[in-house]
Amino acid sequence: MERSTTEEQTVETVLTRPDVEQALISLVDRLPKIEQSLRRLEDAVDFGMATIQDEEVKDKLDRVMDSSNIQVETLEAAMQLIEKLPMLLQVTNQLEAMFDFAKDVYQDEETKELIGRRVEEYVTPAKEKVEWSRATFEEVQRRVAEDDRQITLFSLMKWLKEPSVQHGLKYMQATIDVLSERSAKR
Amino acid sequence: MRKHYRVVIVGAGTGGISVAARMLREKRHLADDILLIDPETKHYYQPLWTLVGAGAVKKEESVREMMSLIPDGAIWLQDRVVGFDPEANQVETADNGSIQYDYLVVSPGIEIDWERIKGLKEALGTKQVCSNYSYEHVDYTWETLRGFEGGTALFTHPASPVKCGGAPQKIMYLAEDYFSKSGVRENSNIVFGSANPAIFDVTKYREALEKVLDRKRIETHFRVNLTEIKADEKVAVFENLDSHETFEMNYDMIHVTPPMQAPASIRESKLADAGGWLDVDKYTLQHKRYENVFGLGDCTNLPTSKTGAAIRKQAPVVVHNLLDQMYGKVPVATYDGYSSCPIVTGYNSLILAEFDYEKVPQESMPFNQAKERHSMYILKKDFLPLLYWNGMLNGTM
Repeated sequence: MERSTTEEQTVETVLTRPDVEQALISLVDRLPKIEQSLRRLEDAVDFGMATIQDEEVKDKLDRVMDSSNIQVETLEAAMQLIEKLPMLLQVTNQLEAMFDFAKDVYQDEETKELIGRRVEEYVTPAKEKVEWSRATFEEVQRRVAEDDRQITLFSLMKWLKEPSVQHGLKYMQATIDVLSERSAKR
Repeated sequence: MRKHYRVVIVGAGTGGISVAARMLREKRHLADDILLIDPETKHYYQPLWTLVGAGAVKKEESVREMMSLIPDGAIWLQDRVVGFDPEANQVETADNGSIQYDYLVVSPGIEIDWERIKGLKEALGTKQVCSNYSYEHVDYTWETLRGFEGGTALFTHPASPVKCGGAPQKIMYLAEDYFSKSGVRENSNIVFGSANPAIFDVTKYREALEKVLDRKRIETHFRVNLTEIKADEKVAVFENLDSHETFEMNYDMIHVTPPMQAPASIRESKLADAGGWLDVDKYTLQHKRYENVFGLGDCTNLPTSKTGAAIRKQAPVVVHNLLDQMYGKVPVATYDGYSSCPIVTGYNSLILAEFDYEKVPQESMPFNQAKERHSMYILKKDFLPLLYWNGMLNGTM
């Protein structure tokens, strides 16, 4: 295996490189600031360590955790929710669009009028049919109540000539024929 | 009068309003920085005119005041764009001079060229010469159908791209249905003269429509183009597009689908392709030469059927890509050429054609949409207008 060029360089040769020299000067120049920052970091670490070791703080934290519902499961759920955020955003956008559409329909007088007209168009024929059936039924009931005639064989024979009775009988006859034929084939 | 806007949208039709509404939903901070330019005071839902012409819907249902539809946050300038200067990022208006933009959306629709058919403009709305392609005259189609007492009923499709390629045949199917109900079908001959080579581009729906033509006994002449109407003699003059010979056909009523073209302001601008249409990338809808210009709708050179349904799919792509361009990203949203044509085949029946650039069906319903269905007729007549006014124009559908 070949050795890299960097590994072949000695400390002396590296230190004589202008870019390294420049970097060292800059580093030395910034040393006071770096030292200051390191002290602050050290203070922060000390403070953190002291806080962790402080029994009173630990007790307070325990009490907060005990009184809340936050558990490991809660944190896991939070992570899962974050993972699902892109999908949830998509669903929220769709729901928002649907909500805005419904709101716009509700607030739009011209659309409401259009919907009203369409509903009427579809409902009117059905309403007329129901009305016709109800009137027919009432008329039949009234006539039955008023009719005190005796139904005779002659009346039955007159019925047979009625087209609607004929149609019904033909329907029955056809049903009997079809049933007989199918039974015979079995 | 302000002379510069972040986004200028030419045309407050289906495309322009949809894009403005969607953009404001996405980036509310663009409020008062989006200008819509359109000279019209009324906005028409034109897909309904087929049913108006057949007496199934009142024409007043197809129109609303433009002001009531301008999205909150967009500014409407009632003016006509007469020129484009994409190198200077400005449009020229008829009454308000130049207006500058950072980003431009072009969607002024399509222009009807009534005068390309000799004798049509003078005869339209009289002497049984009708057309569903004008709000003013669409009533006359219904008047003509009601007054038809038999003879030859002629329907045409021109040798140019048209808005909704299926519309010329829809009114013919409805007329046939009406004539059957009114009792004049037996003594009438229904003829379709079309510049196209077949009844429909997409094989699946073409096969279904050929059966409809057979069932309704409609005589078809393909690759013929109406060039003249002699209204007093009730004669239509056609040119055979293959042999270039002309021939005449007598009629008792004629429904004309007029030739159409891109608006003159686009045709004569640097934004146009060789055919005069807005030259955009078929996938990103970004102009091929000017990256801050986007386009959608009937004015573009997109190789798909020019419909409102197509615009419904184009608008989100334009908004996505324009915003990407605005924020220094590469526009990546793509449009697949989706278009839809609800082909009314009679009162209460409809074939819902949906397809893409490749003419492959892209059906939304879980059943065969090439079958004539009552449910799809109800969808077109009762639900699509609602989805248009309250959904699409608000950027939610």
